Amino acid sequence: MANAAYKWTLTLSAALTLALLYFIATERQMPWPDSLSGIGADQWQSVKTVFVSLFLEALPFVLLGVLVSTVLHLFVPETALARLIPRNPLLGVLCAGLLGVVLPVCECGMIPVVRRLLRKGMPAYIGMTYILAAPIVNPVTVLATYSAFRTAPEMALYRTVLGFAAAAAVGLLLSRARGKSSNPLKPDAPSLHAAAADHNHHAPHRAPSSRLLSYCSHAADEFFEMGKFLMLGAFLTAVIQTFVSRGELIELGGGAFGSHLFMMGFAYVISLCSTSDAFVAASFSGVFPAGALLAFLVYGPMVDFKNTLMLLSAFKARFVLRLLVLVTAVVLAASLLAGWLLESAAR
Amino acid sequence: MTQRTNRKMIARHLARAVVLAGIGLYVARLSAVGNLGLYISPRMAVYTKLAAAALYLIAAALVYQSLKEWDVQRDAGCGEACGHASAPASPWLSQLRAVVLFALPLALFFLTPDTTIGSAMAARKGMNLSGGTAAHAIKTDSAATSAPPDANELDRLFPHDSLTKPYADYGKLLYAKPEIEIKDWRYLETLTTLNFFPDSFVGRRAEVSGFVYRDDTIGQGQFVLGRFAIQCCAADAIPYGIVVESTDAAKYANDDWMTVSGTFAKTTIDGAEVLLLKADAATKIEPAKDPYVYPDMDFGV
Repeated sequence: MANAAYKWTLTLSAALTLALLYFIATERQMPWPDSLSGIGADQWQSVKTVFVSLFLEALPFVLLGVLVSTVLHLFVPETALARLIPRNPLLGVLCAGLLGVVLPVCECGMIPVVRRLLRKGMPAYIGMTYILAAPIVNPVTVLATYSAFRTAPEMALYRTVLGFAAAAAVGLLLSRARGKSSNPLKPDAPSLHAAAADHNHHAPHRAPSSRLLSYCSHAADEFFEMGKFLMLGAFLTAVIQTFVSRGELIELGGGAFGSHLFMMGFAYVISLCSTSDAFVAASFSGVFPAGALLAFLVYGPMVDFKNTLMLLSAFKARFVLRLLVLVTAVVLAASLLAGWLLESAAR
Repeated sequence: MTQRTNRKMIARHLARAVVLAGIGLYVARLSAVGNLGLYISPRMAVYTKLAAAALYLIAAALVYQSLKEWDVQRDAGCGEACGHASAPASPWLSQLRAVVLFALPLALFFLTPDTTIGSAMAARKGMNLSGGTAAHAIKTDSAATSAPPDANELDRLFPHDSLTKPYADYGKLLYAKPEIEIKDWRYLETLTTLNFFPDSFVGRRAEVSGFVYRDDTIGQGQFVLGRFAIQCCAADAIPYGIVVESTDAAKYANDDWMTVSGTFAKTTIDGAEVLLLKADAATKIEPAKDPYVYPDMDFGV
């Protein structure tokens, strides 16, 4: 049922995308609401610029993730993984978080890899902890945060610690899911080459060239599966960035609680890479307290608009929704606590 | 394995190869005409080019594979032992969806001009007039009323603690120049330094270039000359700028590129104290070849 609804959503979004692109191409005025009639060609150009830049930026990482996932699929036996994973949830979550430090992969590239690992029998909560923690705790992000907050170097440390703690907390909460909800993956799209690949896999006498071919077409399959969502995510993010103004949003973020919620919402809709969002956060340092900036810095890499769409390519919608709620609650609580501690330390 | 499903598979391979090669071609063309920099920063462009090359290879493999399938089909000798999976029955709608989601945007990428983002986007993102780092309270006693010796004159103008030392050092460097040229390199760091020590720079001469920007916080006879700072790609651009005061302000349209020189004064915009450049010369210029500026990661290291 949910799957059908989701398919329709995708079709609808595709139709909408088509319509919007048509207007971009013909540089016409939109035929509906008056409020939109003021949109000029230059704004559509802005949409295009941001759309293309997001797509080109994510492309290498998605491709890398797809290639790694394909290697895992074709060359790593199912049993190899099970021996490596700690049985104890707490230990597992900590390992997954630490893995994020040594294996720095961008958000876009992780989803296909983790999906593959989950299919190989890795527990979902461990995979999700890695997806949440890795973009924040990897050295590249820490360095970028440090250089964005040149006069407040402690921000980089707080961000890393808070990110790790929040990811571990969400992972532990997820580890309690049992039974029906313990398999969050969407049913595998019927892959043209799954059978062929398996065949090659178990038939080493085949020529290596055909193995390479099946590797390539498998990678292509997976690239298109992920790419659909990347396209949609990049496009909608570009539209949001072009038409939603920061000034209007700031009006919403009053009070301590409001500023945290606002910064999280803002991080969600602008969908930046974790290596570049620190500079955007720094541009808010006069406007909001440090706790709210931390909320932005921790929440954005974990979940945002683009990455929610990409998660939907691999996971059931219900699971993604639950993950969103969990991450929001945990990050909000953690950043409020951190903000309060910082305030009282300053006094 | 029927002939029809096999044909479907070949068609699918070829369609995918075309899309993948199309993405690769798009990156190659952007790179060739020098427009890749409008979308992604130089340090990330390398990875995108590598990805384009990989997509070409995958596309080539798909074409080769469909040729092989074609041969197999002609021989019609394909039995169960071949190990081919039969193609899933794909409804017409989902095929169309794939085309819409990839081919169409790609075609539009090719057909629409490459542009940078401008003042409209800057207004959405919020123009930053006081550089990159928020004001930082420095714990020094600024009440040094006795005339200090010359060596300490600079230290008095640029008070700092351990965290702001890089800015103070850079400030002294700028201060020594007869006219401060605000260039692409360290654009952001220069603006931050200037706004850290506004009082030390009042009355000094400077020259700056950028695009014209206005919003309702800017007064009459004023406009902002701005630049976008980019980390990875145009999506994370942040607009920074300097307020310019000019008698001819009304003459310049938004998004015009200008070079302005003049002297620094202080002003208050939207409740914040920022430096302002009183223009005595302004010329319209061609937009910079690379419209963006990039943070200097080595600053103060």
